[in-house]
Amino acid sequence: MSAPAGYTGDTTRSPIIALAVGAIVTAFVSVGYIAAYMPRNASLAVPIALLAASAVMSLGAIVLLTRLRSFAWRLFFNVARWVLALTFVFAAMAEYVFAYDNTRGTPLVILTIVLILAAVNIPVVLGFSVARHERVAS
Amino acid sequence: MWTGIDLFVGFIIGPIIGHLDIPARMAFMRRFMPKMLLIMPTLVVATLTSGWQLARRLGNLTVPYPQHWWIVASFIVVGVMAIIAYVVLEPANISVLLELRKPEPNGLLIGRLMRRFIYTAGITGVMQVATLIIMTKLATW
Repeated sequence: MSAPAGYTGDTTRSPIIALAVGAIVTAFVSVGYIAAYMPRNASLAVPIALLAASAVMSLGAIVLLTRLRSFAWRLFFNVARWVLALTFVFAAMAEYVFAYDNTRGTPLVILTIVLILAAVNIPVVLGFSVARHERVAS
Repeated sequence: MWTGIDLFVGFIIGPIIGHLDIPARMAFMRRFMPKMLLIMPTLVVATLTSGWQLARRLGNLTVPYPQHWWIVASFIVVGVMAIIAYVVLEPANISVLLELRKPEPNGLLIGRLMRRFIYTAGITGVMQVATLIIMTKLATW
Protein backbone atom coordinates (compact mmCIF):
# COMPACT_ATOMS: atom_id res chain seq x y z
CA MET A 1 0.00 0.00 0.00
CA SER A 2 1.57 3.28 -1.02
CA ALA A 3 1.63 5.99 1.59
CA PRO A 4 0.02 9.33 0.85
CA ALA A 5 2.24 12.34 0.29
CA GLY A 6 3.38 13.96 3.53
CA TYR A 7 3.33 10.77 5.57
CA THR A 8 6.64 10.45 7.41
CA GLY A 9 6.06 7.14 9.14
CA ASP A 10 5.08 6.27 12.70
CA THR A 11 7.91 7.59 14.85
CA THR A 12 5.97 8.00 18.09
CA ARG A 13 7.40 6.47 21.25
CA SER A 14 6.10 2.94 21.55
CA PRO A 15 5.87 0.87 24.75
CA ILE A 16 6.51 -2.22 22.62
CA ILE A 17 9.93 -0.92 21.58
CA ALA A 18 10.65 0.28 25.12
CA LEU A 19 9.84 -3.13 26.62
CA ALA A 20 11.67 -5.17 23.96
CA VAL A 21 14.77 -2.97 24.13
CA GLY A 22 14.60 -2.99 27.94
CA ALA A 23 14.48 -6.80 27.82
CA ILE A 24 17.56 -6.96 25.56
CA VAL A 25 19.49 -4.47 27.70
CA THR A 26 18.73 -6.22 31.02
CA ALA A 27 19.65 -9.60 29.49
CA PHE A 28 22.99 -8.21 28.25
CA VAL A 29 23.66 -6.57 31.64
CA SER A 30 23.12 -9.91 33.40
CA VAL A 31 25.88 -11.48 31.26
CA GLY A 32 28.11 -8.44 31.75
CA TYR A 33 27.65 -8.78 35.52
CA ILE A 34 28.89 -12.38 35.45
CA ALA A 35 31.77 -11.55 33.08
CA ALA A 36 32.86 -8.59 35.25
CA TYR A 37 33.58 -11.00 38.13
CA MET A 38 35.78 -13.39 36.09
CA PRO A 39 37.79 -15.38 37.06
CA ARG A 40 35.88 -15.38 40.38
CA ASN A 41 32.34 -16.74 40.54
CA ALA A 42 29.76 -13.97 40.73
CA SER A 43 26.67 -14.17 42.93
CA LEU A 44 23.87 -15.41 40.68
CA ALA A 45 21.09 -13.53 42.50
CA VAL A 46 21.56 -10.31 40.49
CA PRO A 47 21.75 -12.01 37.05
CA ILE A 48 18.70 -14.15 37.84
CA ALA A 49 16.72 -11.07 38.96
CA LEU A 50 17.74 -9.24 35.78
CA LEU A 51 16.72 -12.23 33.65
CA ALA A 52 13.35 -12.39 35.39
CA ALA A 53 12.83 -8.68 34.65
CA SER A 54 13.89 -9.28 31.06
CA ALA A 55 11.44 -12.18 30.68
CA VAL A 56 8.58 -10.07 32.09
CA MET A 57 9.39 -7.21 29.70
CA SER A 58 9.59 -9.65 26.76
CA LEU A 59 6.19 -11.03 27.68
CA GLY A 60 4.80 -7.51 27.99
CA ALA A 61 6.11 -6.55 24.56
CA ILE A 62 4.57 -9.65 22.96
CA VAL A 63 1.22 -9.12 24.70
CA LEU A 64 1.08 -5.46 23.59
CA LEU A 65 2.05 -6.55 20.07
CA THR A 66 -0.75 -9.11 19.85
CA ARG A 67 -3.27 -6.45 20.91
CA LEU A 68 -2.50 -4.25 17.90
CA ARG A 69 -5.39 -4.07 15.47
CA SER A 70 -4.47 -1.76 12.61
CA PHE A 71 -1.00 -3.12 11.89
CA ALA A 72 0.92 -4.47 8.90
CA TRP A 73 1.16 -8.02 10.21
CA ARG A 74 2.27 -9.48 6.89
CA LEU A 75 5.23 -7.14 6.67
CA PHE A 76 6.00 -7.75 10.35
CA PHE A 77 6.20 -11.52 9.85
CA ASN A 78 8.12 -11.12 6.59
CA VAL A 79 10.85 -9.23 8.43
CA ALA A 80 10.66 -11.00 11.81
CA ARG A 81 10.92 -14.56 10.48
CA TRP A 82 14.18 -13.89 8.61
CA VAL A 83 15.62 -11.96 11.54
CA LEU A 84 14.54 -14.82 13.83
CA ALA A 85 16.40 -17.31 11.61
CA LEU A 86 19.48 -15.07 11.65
CA THR A 87 19.47 -14.50 15.40
CA PHE A 88 19.02 -18.22 16.11
CA VAL A 89 22.07 -18.99 13.94
CA PHE A 90 24.04 -16.34 15.86
CA ALA A 91 22.72 -17.65 19.20
CA ALA A 92 23.79 -21.18 18.22
CA MET A 93 27.28 -19.87 17.38
CA ALA A 94 27.51 -18.12 20.76
CA GLU A 95 26.23 -21.22 22.58
CA TYR A 96 28.93 -23.28 20.84
CA VAL A 97 31.59 -20.78 22.00
CA PHE A 98 30.37 -20.98 25.61
CA ALA A 99 30.30 -24.79 25.50
CA TYR A 100 33.76 -24.82 23.90
CA ASP A 101 34.96 -22.64 26.79
CA ASN A 102 33.82 -25.35 29.22
CA THR A 103 31.04 -23.16 30.64
CA ARG A 104 28.81 -25.55 32.56
CA GLY A 105 26.00 -25.62 35.11
CA THR A 106 24.05 -22.52 36.18
CA PRO A 107 26.20 -19.99 34.24
CA LEU A 108 25.54 -21.93 31.03
CA VAL A 109 21.80 -21.97 31.79
CA ILE A 110 21.86 -18.19 32.37
CA LEU A 111 23.79 -17.56 29.17
CA THR A 112 21.40 -19.80 27.22
CA ILE A 113 18.38 -17.90 28.58
CA VAL A 114 20.05 -14.60 27.64
CA LEU A 115 20.58 -15.85 24.08
CA ILE A 116 16.97 -17.03 23.84
CA LEU A 117 15.66 -13.68 25.14
CA ALA A 118 17.84 -11.80 22.65
CA ALA A 119 16.82 -14.13 19.81
CA VAL A 120 13.14 -13.50 20.58
CA ASN A 121 13.27 -9.75 21.23
CA ILE A 122 15.50 -8.69 18.32
CA PRO A 123 13.01 -9.96 15.67
CA VAL A 124 10.20 -8.21 17.59
CA VAL A 125 12.12 -4.91 17.58
CA LEU A 126 13.09 -5.14 13.91
CA GLY A 127 9.74 -6.46 12.67
CA PHE A 128 7.73 -3.89 14.61
CA SER A 129 10.07 -1.00 13.74
CA VAL A 130 9.70 -1.75 10.03
CA ALA A 131 5.99 -2.64 9.95
CA ARG A 132 4.83 0.34 12.04
CA HIS A 133 5.65 2.72 9.17
CA GLU A 134 3.29 0.89 6.82
CA ARG A 135 -0.22 2.31 6.72
CA VAL A 136 -3.02 -0.23 6.71
CA ALA A 137 -6.77 0.23 6.42
CA SER A 138 -8.50 0.14 9.82
CA MET B 1 37.18 -5.24 9.47
CA TRP B 2 34.13 -4.04 11.44
CA THR B 3 35.79 -0.75 12.37
CA GLY B 4 37.38 -0.45 8.93
CA ILE B 5 34.08 -0.86 7.09
CA ASP B 6 32.34 1.58 9.47
CA LEU B 7 35.01 4.22 8.91
CA PHE B 8 35.16 3.58 5.14
CA VAL B 9 31.39 3.92 4.78
CA GLY B 10 31.23 6.92 7.11
CA PHE B 11 34.10 8.93 5.68
CA ILE B 12 34.36 7.72 2.02
CA ILE B 13 31.05 6.27 0.83
CA GLY B 14 28.83 8.63 2.86
CA PRO B 15 30.20 11.92 1.47
CA ILE B 16 30.18 10.49 -2.08
CA ILE B 17 26.50 9.55 -1.72
CA GLY B 18 25.81 12.99 -0.33
CA HIS B 19 27.04 14.57 -3.56
CA LEU B 20 24.95 12.34 -5.87
CA ASP B 21 21.57 13.44 -7.19
CA ILE B 22 18.49 11.78 -5.68
CA PRO B 23 17.84 9.10 -8.39
CA ALA B 24 21.52 8.07 -8.41
CA ARG B 25 21.54 7.99 -4.60
CA MET B 26 18.45 5.75 -4.57
CA ALA B 27 19.90 3.45 -7.24
CA PHE B 28 23.13 3.12 -5.25
CA MET B 29 21.34 2.49 -1.93
CA ARG B 30 19.05 -0.12 -3.53
CA ARG B 31 22.11 -2.21 -4.41
CA PHE B 32 24.33 -1.29 -1.48
CA MET B 33 22.01 -1.85 1.49
CA PRO B 34 21.06 -5.53 0.90
CA LYS B 35 24.74 -6.43 0.86
CA MET B 36 25.42 -4.44 4.03
CA LEU B 37 22.43 -6.09 5.73
CA LEU B 38 24.04 -9.48 5.12
CA ILE B 39 27.67 -8.55 5.75
CA MET B 40 27.47 -6.42 8.90
CA PRO B 41 25.54 -8.68 11.33
CA THR B 42 27.68 -11.66 10.27
CA LEU B 43 30.85 -9.64 10.71
CA VAL B 44 29.72 -8.35 14.11
CA VAL B 45 29.01 -11.84 15.49
CA ALA B 46 32.24 -13.27 14.02
CA THR B 47 34.18 -10.38 15.59
CA LEU B 48 32.55 -10.83 19.01
CA THR B 49 33.00 -14.60 19.18
CA SER B 50 36.58 -14.55 17.89
CA GLY B 51 37.39 -11.61 20.19
CA TRP B 52 36.06 -13.52 23.19
CA GLN B 53 38.15 -16.57 22.24
CA LEU B 54 41.27 -14.45 21.70
CA ALA B 55 40.81 -12.70 25.07
CA ARG B 56 40.34 -16.07 26.79
CA ARG B 57 43.49 -17.54 25.19
CA LEU B 58 45.57 -14.45 26.00
CA GLY B 59 44.31 -14.49 29.59
CA ASN B 60 42.78 -11.01 29.35
CA LEU B 61 39.49 -12.16 30.89
CA THR B 62 41.15 -13.22 34.12
CA VAL B 63 43.31 -10.16 34.84
CA PRO B 64 42.68 -8.64 38.30
CA TYR B 65 41.16 -5.24 39.01
CA PRO B 66 41.90 -2.38 38.33
CA GLN B 67 43.05 -3.67 34.89
CA HIS B 68 39.85 -5.70 34.65
CA TRP B 69 37.94 -2.38 34.36
CA TRP B 70 39.29 -2.19 30.79
CA ILE B 71 37.64 -5.53 30.05
CA VAL B 72 34.39 -4.31 31.63
CA ALA B 73 34.65 -1.14 29.51
CA SER B 74 34.99 -3.29 26.39
CA PHE B 75 31.77 -5.15 27.36
CA ILE B 76 29.96 -1.82 27.75
CA VAL B 77 31.24 -0.54 24.38
CA VAL B 78 30.21 -3.75 22.62
CA GLY B 79 26.81 -3.68 24.33
CA VAL B 80 26.10 -0.08 23.34
CA MET B 81 27.18 -0.74 19.73
CA ALA B 82 25.05 -3.89 19.53
CA ILE B 83 21.99 -2.08 20.90
CA ILE B 84 22.42 0.81 18.44
CA ALA B 85 22.88 -1.64 15.56
CA TYR B 86 19.83 -3.76 16.34
CA VAL B 87 17.48 -1.05 17.63
CA VAL B 88 18.25 1.92 15.39
CA LEU B 89 20.41 1.09 12.39
CA GLU B 90 19.06 -2.29 11.23
CA PRO B 91 15.34 -1.32 11.40
CA ALA B 92 16.06 1.93 9.56
CA ASN B 93 18.11 0.02 6.95
CA ILE B 94 15.32 -2.47 6.30
CA SER B 95 12.62 0.23 6.25
CA VAL B 96 14.56 2.33 3.73
CA LEU B 97 15.27 -0.72 1.60
CA LEU B 98 11.61 -1.76 1.53
CA GLU B 99 10.55 1.82 0.77
CA LEU B 100 13.03 2.04 -2.11
CA ARG B 101 11.57 -1.11 -3.67
CA LYS B 102 8.13 0.52 -3.99
CA PRO B 103 7.08 2.06 -7.33
CA GLU B 104 6.78 5.46 -5.63
CA PRO B 105 9.13 5.62 -2.62
CA ASN B 106 8.16 8.03 0.15
CA GLY B 107 11.03 10.51 0.14
CA LEU B 108 9.93 12.13 3.40
CA LEU B 109 9.95 8.82 5.26
CA ILE B 110 13.33 7.85 3.76
CA GLY B 111 14.77 11.24 4.71
CA ARG B 112 13.48 10.95 8.25
CA LEU B 113 14.88 7.43 8.67
CA MET B 114 18.24 8.39 7.17
CA ARG B 115 18.54 11.22 9.71
CA ARG B 116 18.72 8.54 12.40
CA PHE B 117 22.04 7.50 10.91
CA ILE B 118 23.36 11.00 11.48
CA TYR B 119 22.08 11.08 15.07
CA THR B 120 23.67 7.72 15.89
CA ALA B 121 26.86 8.37 13.87
CA GLY B 122 28.26 10.48 16.70
CA ILE B 123 27.67 7.76 19.31
CA THR B 124 29.06 5.07 17.01
CA GLY B 125 32.10 7.25 16.29
CA VAL B 126 32.79 7.67 20.02
CA MET B 127 32.43 3.90 20.51
CA GLN B 128 34.87 3.23 17.64
CA VAL B 129 37.44 5.55 19.22
CA ALA B 130 36.85 3.85 22.61
CA THR B 131 37.39 0.45 20.94
CA LEU B 132 40.72 1.58 19.52
CA ILE B 133 41.82 2.96 22.92
CA ILE B 134 40.85 -0.26 24.75
CA MET B 135 42.53 -2.47 22.12
CA THR B 136 45.73 -0.40 22.36
CA LYS B 137 45.66 -0.60 26.17
CA LEU B 138 45.13 -4.39 26.17
CA ALA B 139 47.92 -4.90 23.65
CA THR B 140 50.46 -2.86 25.60
CA TRP B 141 49.99 -3.69 29.31
